[in-house]
Amino acid sequence: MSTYLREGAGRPRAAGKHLLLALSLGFLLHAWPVNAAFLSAELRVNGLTCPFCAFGIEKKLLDVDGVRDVEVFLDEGRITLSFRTDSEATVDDLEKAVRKAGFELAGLRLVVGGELLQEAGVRFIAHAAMTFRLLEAHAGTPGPVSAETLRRLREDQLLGQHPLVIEGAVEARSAVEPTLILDGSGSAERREK
Amino acid sequence: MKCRRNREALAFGAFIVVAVLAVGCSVEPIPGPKYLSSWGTTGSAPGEFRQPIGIAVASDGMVFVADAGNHRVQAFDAAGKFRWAFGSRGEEPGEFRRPMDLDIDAKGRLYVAEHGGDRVQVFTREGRFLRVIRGDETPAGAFDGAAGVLASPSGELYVADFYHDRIVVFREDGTFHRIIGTSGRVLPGRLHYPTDVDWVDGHLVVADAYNNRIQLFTPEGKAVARWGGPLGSGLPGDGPGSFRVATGVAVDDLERIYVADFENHRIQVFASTGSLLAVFGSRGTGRGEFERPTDLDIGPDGRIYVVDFGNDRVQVFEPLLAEVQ
Repeated sequence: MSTYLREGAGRPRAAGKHLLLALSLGFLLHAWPVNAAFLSAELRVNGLTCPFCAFGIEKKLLDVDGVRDVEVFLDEGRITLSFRTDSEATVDDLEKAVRKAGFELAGLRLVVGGELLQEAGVRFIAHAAMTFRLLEAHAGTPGPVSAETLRRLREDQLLGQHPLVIEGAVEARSAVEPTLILDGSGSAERREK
Repeated sequence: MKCRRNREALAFGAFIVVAVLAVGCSVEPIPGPKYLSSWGTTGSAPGEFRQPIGIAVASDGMVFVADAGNHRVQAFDAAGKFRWAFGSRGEEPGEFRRPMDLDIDAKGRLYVAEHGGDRVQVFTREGRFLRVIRGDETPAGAFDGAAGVLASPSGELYVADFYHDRIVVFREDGTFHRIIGTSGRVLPGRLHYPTDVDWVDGHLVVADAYNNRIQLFTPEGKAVARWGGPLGSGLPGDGPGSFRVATGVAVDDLERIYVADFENHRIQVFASTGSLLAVFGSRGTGRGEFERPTDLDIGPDGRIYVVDFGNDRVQVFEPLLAEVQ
């Protein structure tokens, strides 16, 4: 995935750089209105074999504000979601819904859309709870969030907490309406309010 | 020394007596009833199923199936011929979000429990909507996954409230009456995702699905018997008398309890005391085989109707012999 990263625009390595980025994006979030939402998501859940559980997880996810439709693929442990355009659903909401149904989220692939904003040389999409920093527009085929990324997010206790700043590769379908897909190259940093 | 020897002899004798009694009492389960017929295939056309999950057989032999994936109820005659269907996906009266289980009361009214819709809707047999019960006035609020329903002989309505780990009881007029069971594992009266309810010998039978056991309660809610795993603890297993997710229960005229043993792909039959009487079915797609059976019911002639969830079909078996007691 690193091939998608623009030269010189790689992930900040020093903690200070992370903090600077977080603060700058925090400033931008205050300056810019929230303008992005989840478009679709694919969740992975282990042990999803029974219809009572499958219909339960469907029910809990449909209860999340902004979720338009849910499809559960029994035995595959795969769940696809679509969202209303005005959705303000967060990863935290999805994770809580899965937990309420008696399961743990084992994988997540998100497609997020919104107007591309730019400030101080940083391009980003602002979501209610997360800021997606645009690293590189590319036409590559995005992949799902890797287990390794999820593990790292969990170990850092980042998943489910927000606001988050997440870097990820970007699939730009057009110059002004990019679709951002978190993938295995993502890293995350908690940003204090 | 003599006294100690006597005590040891007594203890040994008692052990032998208990062992002999135990062997004498344990009944070798007989093979199950013979396969008769089946109907259904995967699809959404009349007579086809997508994730059928609950079943009820009326006193005249009509068979009603909760076709959860198609969000509808389908009616068949006793031979499996499609008669009519009603319902589609939605929240309005007469629509469904995952209909799960059905029952028919003495007046022929059809009760449909909805897992996604969190309600029980009442219909005529032909599908005309009569009323809805949501459980709003219960202590823990409305249902959270209405998985099973029973219109009892006394006129009370029992609803297996899946995510609240409880059975909610309503009077015949639909008003809330009481709660049976509390959330938990192992201990008597504790429920973990109950999915079905029936009535045997004046007691409520609960499919305590994810406790892998069957529990019996008095109508007042006192837990009086349980089986499945050692001492009814609910330890999952595939030996005779154990369960891996006990999802459906039905009771015949001889008070025998039939259990859909979901992940063991079989049906087990018990006396109302919990003694195992018969086991039938194994995993597969052939005649008499199951892919995760979820529910079953007994016809007026004693025939056994099983919802073969994973194979999108209903299978019918001959009545269990009356001698099997």
